[in-house]
Amino acid sequence: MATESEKLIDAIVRLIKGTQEGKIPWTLEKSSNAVRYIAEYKGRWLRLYALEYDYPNLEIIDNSGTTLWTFPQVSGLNDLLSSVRYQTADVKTLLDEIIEDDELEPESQEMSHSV
Amino acid sequence: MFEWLTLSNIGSVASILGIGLSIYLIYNVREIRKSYLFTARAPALLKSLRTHSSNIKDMLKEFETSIAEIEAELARCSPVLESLRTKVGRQERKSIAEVVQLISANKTLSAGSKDAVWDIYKELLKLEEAMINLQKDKQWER
Repeated sequence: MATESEKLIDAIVRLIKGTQEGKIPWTLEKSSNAVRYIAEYKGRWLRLYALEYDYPNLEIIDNSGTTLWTFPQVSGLNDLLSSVRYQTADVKTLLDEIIEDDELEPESQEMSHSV
Repeated sequence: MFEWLTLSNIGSVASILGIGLSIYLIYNVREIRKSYLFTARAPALLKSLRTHSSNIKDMLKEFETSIAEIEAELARCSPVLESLRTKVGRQERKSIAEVVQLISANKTLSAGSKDAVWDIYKELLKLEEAMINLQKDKQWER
């Protein structure tokens, strides 16, 4: 039988998977001391943030933003935060655009060898 | 009763007790050695495991084009797990063996192996959590 922390890890891995596959869209919420990310999952709100030099916190919040429950610190929260940052910063699109940008194409071999 | 209490019998009993005590001491020395090794090596091994599992998670974003890299990353996990296995107790050894077995069963990946890699990643996280807890427990044993 799965322990409580194993169940939490199962849930966090599902959130990571859902985030990476775009099934759980996260939005940025700027506050005074930290960048927070919010997502709706089946009618409930999740908030993820990390204060400087601190472990990430994942919370269940109500509609007014009040914390209802904070997930205990378990393995995987850092990975969830990095996946959420990757999604909200739209890194994938930026990388594709940079790769496909003809103006950033390096000069051809022929040109670089010409004197 | 006292007839039995001869020097020879006392010697025999003492020998048997001595053997028992020696086995107990050997077992304890082995456990202390393992505990010492775990305390010394666990931080680096866990850090390495953390890096590999995080890399696997990142590669899962582009699974189809990262199959070879994921196979390599999984292969890198195995020696770390083997090293951890020799430094932990029986229960943790069993958990590590299960993850090693899962990795071995998925040495060669295909386009349909994405869910299997997610499962390995999940088991690596669970193992990491168990090792972190063990590390915390060991601090109280000193």
